[in-house]
Amino acid sequence: MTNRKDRTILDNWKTTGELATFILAQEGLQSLDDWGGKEVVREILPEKYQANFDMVQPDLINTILKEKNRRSASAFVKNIMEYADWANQELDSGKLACYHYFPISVEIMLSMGMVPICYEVVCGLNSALYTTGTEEGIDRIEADGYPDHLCSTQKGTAGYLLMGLTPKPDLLIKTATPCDASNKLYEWTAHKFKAPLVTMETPYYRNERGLNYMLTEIKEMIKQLEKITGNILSEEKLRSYCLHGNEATNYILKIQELKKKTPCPDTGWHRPADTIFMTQIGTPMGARYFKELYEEVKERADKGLGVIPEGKKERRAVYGYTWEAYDLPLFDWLEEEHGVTYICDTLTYLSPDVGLVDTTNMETMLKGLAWRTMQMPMGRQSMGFSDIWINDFVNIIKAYKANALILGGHVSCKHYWALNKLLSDKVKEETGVPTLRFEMDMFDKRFTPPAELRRIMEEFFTTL
Amino acid sequence: MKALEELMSLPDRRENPYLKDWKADGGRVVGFPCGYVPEEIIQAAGLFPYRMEARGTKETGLADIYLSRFNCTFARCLLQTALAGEYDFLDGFCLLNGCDQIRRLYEIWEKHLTTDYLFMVTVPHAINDSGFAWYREEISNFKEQLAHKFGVRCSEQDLRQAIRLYNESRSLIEELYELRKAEEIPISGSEVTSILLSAGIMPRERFNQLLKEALDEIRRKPKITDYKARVMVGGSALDNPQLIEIIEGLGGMVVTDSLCFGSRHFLNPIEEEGDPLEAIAKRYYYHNPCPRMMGEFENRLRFTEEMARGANVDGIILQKIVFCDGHAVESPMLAEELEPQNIPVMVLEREHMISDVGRIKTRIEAFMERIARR
Repeated sequence: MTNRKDRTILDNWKTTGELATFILAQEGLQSLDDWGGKEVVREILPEKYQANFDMVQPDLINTILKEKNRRSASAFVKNIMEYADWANQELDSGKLACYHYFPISVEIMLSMGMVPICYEVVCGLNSALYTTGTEEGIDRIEADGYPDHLCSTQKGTAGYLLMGLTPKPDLLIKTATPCDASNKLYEWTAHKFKAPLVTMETPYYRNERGLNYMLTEIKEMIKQLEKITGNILSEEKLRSYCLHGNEATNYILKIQELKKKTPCPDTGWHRPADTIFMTQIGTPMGARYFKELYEEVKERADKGLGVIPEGKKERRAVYGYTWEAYDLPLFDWLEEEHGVTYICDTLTYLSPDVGLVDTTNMETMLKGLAWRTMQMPMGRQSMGFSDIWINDFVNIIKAYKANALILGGHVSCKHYWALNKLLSDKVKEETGVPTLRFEMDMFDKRFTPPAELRRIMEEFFTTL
Repeated sequence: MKALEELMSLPDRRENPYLKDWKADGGRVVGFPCGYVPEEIIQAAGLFPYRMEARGTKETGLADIYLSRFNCTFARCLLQTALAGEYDFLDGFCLLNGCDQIRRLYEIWEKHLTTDYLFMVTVPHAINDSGFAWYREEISNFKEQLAHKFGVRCSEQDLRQAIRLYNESRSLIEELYELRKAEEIPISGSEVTSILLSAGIMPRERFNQLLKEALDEIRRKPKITDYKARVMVGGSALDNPQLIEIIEGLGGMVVTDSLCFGSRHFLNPIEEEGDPLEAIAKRYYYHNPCPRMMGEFENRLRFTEEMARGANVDGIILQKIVFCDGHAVESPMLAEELEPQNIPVMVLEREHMISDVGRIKTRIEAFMERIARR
């Protein structure tokens, strides 16, 4: 363990988690200004946190310090800290670093003794936490001739791999959905770092034929993983992880039900974090995060409380595509300034079709995981016909009594850009709800900077 | 009109007489935009398999209502062509999940165009046994749907005949590629591109007949010897000889390719023995893969290298349409591997409609200076 450069990102996350825990523990602190501003706070902090504090977005600190956001913030930072710590220890013990696409079940990887590192989370979390975001990773790979129209979701991490800031992959697992860009960048990673790429096809059709095919693919993936790792998939271990997965799934579905209430009892700032922790479905950490969110949301719902200032009229926004990772405070600002609550988006909405994994035996578990993989956010919307994406959001808008559809178009998402008009047309036709469409990059703030995002949102919600 | 001239001029003619006659005789046409659609099945059903392209489309105003500036201009031009009514002659349209942008045309087409029948054939992204079984079932379903919707027969015998017909094309086209391997070349790359485009837009029996005659004409043609460098072209869908003309106008001679409108589509025959559907599935699923296939980079690299070495090229131009993600990653990867093997590579970004000719010429001129042998 002489060279820990490749743990830089994991170590940063851990320190950020500790720093945020320290700050959240300060009684009565509601914003950095309470202590005299960022520069003053830096001096008060223990020295070991100061460098990390310089990296963290000040607006994010102010957001998590708000009373209504503290509980979800604690859950958030606890998970970052715990994951980074766990991953470091497991890698130190010689376990294999398995980079995987985000909707893929980690239950299987964990049961086979691997360390799952979600490729997309490496980039996403950095974008969310730090002022420098993930742009240096993006720039690094673009410098090698890979163009700006490829998805930053993978480019950020690919760049970090080239910079040696995150562990080299021992293997990669990728579903064939959602897109060519992600498929190709996983292939690039496997080639560049000479790591095996295990691919898993996702069928176009969500029917029995599709499910059986997905199941075959999962079984084939397991065979390949057994060969690569030398470990055999244990039924007992898989069951225990599936139970954690079911617990998390249950909480997510319950939170979604509670959000149908008016006023919406859930805060919006952590929605990108929800996506990140959906990659932990199947771990105790994932279950705990969603349990804590659920308890908070339920408490508010039971009391009939919302998350917008008293006296403001609630406008319920559905994000028919996605959030901007680099600006989590935006969603808090929308609540505070415009009374806009965040119902859901494609990356956090879990269709109730997902169901729970039947843990009776190996076959039922694998079938359940196959089905869940087909239903996970992004996979569900992009693996087949556009109708699934479009109809889901028409139904969501109706079920949640939404007032606005927000379509922030991630610039590199060819799927989105080929169906956004159909989606907004159908929503207008069936619900009369207006759509705000604009261009952005989920992780690269240079495309639509936070100030510009606010201007676009303000303009729309002022005239809504 | 001589056969060669007929084949070379057809793609640029305003009216396609073969299509006109076919329709006048009550024939029906099924279009497809990608090389993973097995034409033999359409042919066996007595329909006209029409390889769709969007050559000559100058703007995308209609298409951009549904697509955007972040989608590739091949998909946008194809949709533009259709929305402008130029594909109104289609009775059926077979799409597939070849790439994200092409597959998303399905729903737009369904809602905003009037083609009688739409089909979707899905191709797995990884080459393995379960993927093959899936694809085989997909094309079997496609065959059944064609027969059912058009009320036609598509028997094993019909499939065998279609395979023989298309294999004949493949063999003739292989001859064409062989002729270009010579130091003194009887036909330019842009002329070959036009011939191959003709294959997709005329009845195949007639194409084979004309190509046979054209090959004799080509052999008798004066040889081209005054080129500066032998060039291979690869990359995104190229349905237009214009780019090849630019390369050849600057002294390059395009002698081979790894294009889906070229060698990747027309080489590799289908086995004529055994179950014909199985044989068709094998050919289309396992043939030199498109970058959309995952985990196949080594095979594509090998294929590119073999084609380059086989035609003794001095350099490769990998042209990619902006927003084509498959080739955007593949091209620099190939360049990185081929350059150390003394195969110079230029990665050239372009739009489907080649408009910024000045920039393209400057880049190609610079590449020519690098690779010129004389």
